[in-house]
Amino acid sequence: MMQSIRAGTQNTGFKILIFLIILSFAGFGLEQVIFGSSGTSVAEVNGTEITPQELQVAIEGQKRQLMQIFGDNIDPEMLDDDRIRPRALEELIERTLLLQAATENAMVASSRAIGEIVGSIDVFKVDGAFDADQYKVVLANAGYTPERFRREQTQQIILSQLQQGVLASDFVTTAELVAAAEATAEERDVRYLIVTDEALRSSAEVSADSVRQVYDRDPSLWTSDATVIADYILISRDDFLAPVDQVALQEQFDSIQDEYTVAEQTLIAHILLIQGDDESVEAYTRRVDDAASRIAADEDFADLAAELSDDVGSAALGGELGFTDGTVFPEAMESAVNSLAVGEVSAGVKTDAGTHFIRILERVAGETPDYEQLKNELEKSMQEAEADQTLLVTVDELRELSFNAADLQQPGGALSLSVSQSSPVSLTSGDGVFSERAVREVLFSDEVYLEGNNSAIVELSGNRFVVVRVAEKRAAEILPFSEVAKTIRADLEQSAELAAKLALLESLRSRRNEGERLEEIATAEGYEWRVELGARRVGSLLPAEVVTLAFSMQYGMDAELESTQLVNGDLAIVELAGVEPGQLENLSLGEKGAMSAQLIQLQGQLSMLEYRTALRDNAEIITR
Amino acid sequence: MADHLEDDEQVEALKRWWDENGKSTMAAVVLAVAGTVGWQQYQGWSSQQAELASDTWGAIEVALQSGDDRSTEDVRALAGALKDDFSRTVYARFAALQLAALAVEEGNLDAAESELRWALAKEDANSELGQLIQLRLARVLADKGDTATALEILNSGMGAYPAAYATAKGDIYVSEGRHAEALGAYRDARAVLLALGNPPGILDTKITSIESRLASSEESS
Repeated sequence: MMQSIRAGTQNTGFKILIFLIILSFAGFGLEQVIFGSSGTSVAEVNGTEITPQELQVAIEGQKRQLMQIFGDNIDPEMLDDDRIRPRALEELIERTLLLQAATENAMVASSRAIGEIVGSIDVFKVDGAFDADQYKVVLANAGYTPERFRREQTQQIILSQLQQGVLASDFVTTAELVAAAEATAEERDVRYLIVTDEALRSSAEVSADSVRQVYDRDPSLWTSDATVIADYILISRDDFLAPVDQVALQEQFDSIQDEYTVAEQTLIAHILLIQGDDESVEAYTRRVDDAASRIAADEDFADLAAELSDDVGSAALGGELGFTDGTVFPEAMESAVNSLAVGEVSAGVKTDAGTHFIRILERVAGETPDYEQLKNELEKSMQEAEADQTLLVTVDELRELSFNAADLQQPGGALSLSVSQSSPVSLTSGDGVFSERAVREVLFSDEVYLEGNNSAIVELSGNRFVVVRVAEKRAAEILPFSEVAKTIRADLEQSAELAAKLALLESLRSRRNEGERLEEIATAEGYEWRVELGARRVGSLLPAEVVTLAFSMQYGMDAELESTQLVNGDLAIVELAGVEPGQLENLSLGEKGAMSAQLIQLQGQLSMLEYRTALRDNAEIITR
Repeated sequence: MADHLEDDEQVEALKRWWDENGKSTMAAVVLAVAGTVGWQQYQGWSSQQAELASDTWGAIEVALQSGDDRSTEDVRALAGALKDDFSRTVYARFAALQLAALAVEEGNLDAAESELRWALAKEDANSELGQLIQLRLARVLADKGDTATALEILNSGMGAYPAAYATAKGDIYVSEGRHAEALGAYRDARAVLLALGNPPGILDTKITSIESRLASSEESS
C-alpha cells in the first residue's frame, strides 16, 4: 500500500494535483481561517452557516425597525430578543436562499456600482468629498471591516437586482383585466328596509320582574372576587426622621456657612507717590501736597493717575486696582476704603510703598444667606441621610426576622414596628399600599396566598418597603341583587333585542316566501324603504355594512333576506334583486389604470412569494 | 524510517530522487502555474463580462424608475444590448422579461411571445425562473386566444408556482365562460395562498362573484 502511494508520487499528473492543492491553500482567505467554521452556527442553509453574530445583528436590525415604527411608546416586551429571534432567523434564512439563487445565476455587483454606493454615503464624506480615512474610521466604529462592508453592499445590490428582475417585469393582459373587472366591477341591485334602533328596543322591553326572576333562579352566578384581609408592615424613610444632634448640626453649619456668604466688594483706584532715592523730603512733600490740591480741585482722577502716579501698573488704567473684600490691601488702605463712600477720594494714606490717594469707584453689597433657612435645609438633609441609614439597617433586620417568623407580630415587636391590617383586598383592587399592583400580586402569589408565609420585602417608590401576610381569606361572595340588577338588565335587553331581530327577520322571510313583496311589507308596516340599482363594491351610496352584506349574499330564486346592523344601531334588512358581471369598458380610464396597476403589483408579489417558497422547499435547512 | 538513515545517506537519497524526478517535478510546477494563470485570466475576463452585464442591468433599473417615454426607449436599447452582448447571463433573461412586459403593455403580443420564448430557450425550463417564464408565456398565449396551448403549459408545470398557475388557469376559464372550472381553479389558488399565510387578495372577490352568478344561472337553466 505505502509502496503504491510512493510509486504514485513519482507520477507527473499526481504532482500537478499536489501543487494545485498547495496553491489553493495559499489563496485561502485569512478571514475564513479566523472567523470561519466556529461550529456554533444557529442554522445551516444548503451548507451555508448562519452564525450567532449574524443572527444578533439581524435581531438588532429588527429592533431598530420596531422602534422606528412605534416610537417611544413601544412595549418593551416587543423588544425582547427571544421574541424577535425566530422572525430574524427566518429573514436571514430567506436572504441566504435568495443570495444562493443569485450566485447560482452568476449574478455579481461591479466594483463601480459598489464604489458609487460607498461614495454616496454622507458619513464617509469630509467637506462634501469621500475620504478614505473617514471611511475606515466610521466602519471600524460600527464594527465593520471594509471587506465585510463591501460584501454586504454586494449582497444588497444583487438581491435588489433579483427582486427587480423577477418582480418588476410582470404585466397584466387584457383578458386578465376583463376577468378581474367581471368580479371587482360587478353590479348588484340592492333593496332594503330600515328598522330603527328605537323600534327594536321598544319591542324588547325587559320588566323589573324578569330581572328579579333571573337573579333568583341562581344568585350564585353573580359573585364578588375573592378577597384577603392582610397584615402588613410598611416602613418608609419618614418613619425614621429623628432630631439631629445640635452640636453636629452647628459644626456642619459653620463649615458650610462661609461658602454661602459673599462679602462686600469695593472697586478702587489710587494714585501712588513714591519718594525717589535722591528726592528730598521737602520735594516729596511738595509733590504730595500738589497732588492733594489738584484732587481737591476736582480734576479728573483717572487723568491725574496717568500723569502723577508712580504705580506704573495702574497709572495707565486710570489708577484702577480691582475689587477688594477688605483683605486684599494693607491695613491702612483698607481702613481708608472702609470709611469712604463711592466717588470720594481719601486724603494721603501712608504705607510702606508710599503715599496713596484712594478713590472708591464702585461698591457691590455683600450677600448674607438666610441663616435660619439654610440651617433648616441642612437639618433636613442630615435628618434624611441618617433616616436612610436607619431604614436600610431596619429593612435588612426585618428581612432576616420575617423570613423565619410565623407571623408579622414577632418581627414587628422585635423592631418596634407597627403591624397594620388592611381592608379587603382583591387581586384587582385594594386601598392604601394595596392600591399598588405589585403589592397585590405578591399578596396573591402562591408563596403568600396558598402557603401562608410572610412575603419577601417589596420595595416601592418613595423609599418605602412593605412586607405582607394573609390574615384572613374571604371566599368569593354572592352579590346582593341591588348590585347586579343593572348588569342583568343590560344582558336581558341585549338578548331580547337579538330575539326581536330574529323574529322580525323570520316573519319577513315567511311573508315574502308566501308571495308578498318586501316593498309592500315595508310600506304597510311603516318601515323606511330604499333601493339602489347597479351598485358596485366601491363608490355606491349604500351604507358600508349594506355593501358588505349585499356583495356576500347568494342570488337566485330561493335567496333569503339577510340583515345587518348599521353603525347607528338601526337594522337593515336586505334583498338582493339582481347581479350583473362587471364590464371593463364601463370603467373610467382612471379606474382601469388603478386596476391594472393593482393587478400587476399583486401578480409580481405572488411570483416573488412563490419563487421564495420554491427555493425554500428545495433547500436543505437545519436550524439548531 | 528516515530515523534509520544517516545524514549522508539522506542527502544521497535526496540527490538520487532529484536525478530521477527533477525534470518531471519542474514540468509539473510549470504546467500547474501556467494552468492556474490561464484559468485566472479567463476568470478575470468572465467576471469583467459579468460586471458589465450587471452594470447594464443597473442602468435599466434606473431608467425603469423614472418611467417616462424617453426612459422607456433607454430600457429598450439597454435591454437589446444585454441580449446581444451578454446573451448567456441571467441579466439578458431579465432584459427579455422586461421587454416582454413592455410589449404586453403596448398590446404587441407577438413581440411579447418571442421575447419570452427567447428567455425560455436560454433558461432551464424547470428551474424556478424557467417555470416563471413559462407562466408568463402561457398568459400571453391565452390573451392571443390560444387558450389550448396556454392551458397545456399550465397543466404540465413543475409546481413551483401553484397559486400563480391556478390563478392564470382561472382567468382563462373565465374568458371561455367555463365558470365552474374557474371557480375550482381560484379556490385552489386561494387555499395555497392561505397555507402560505398570505391574504388571498382579489381572489375572494372573484370567488364570491362567480359563486353568486353560478347560483343564479342554475336557477334560470
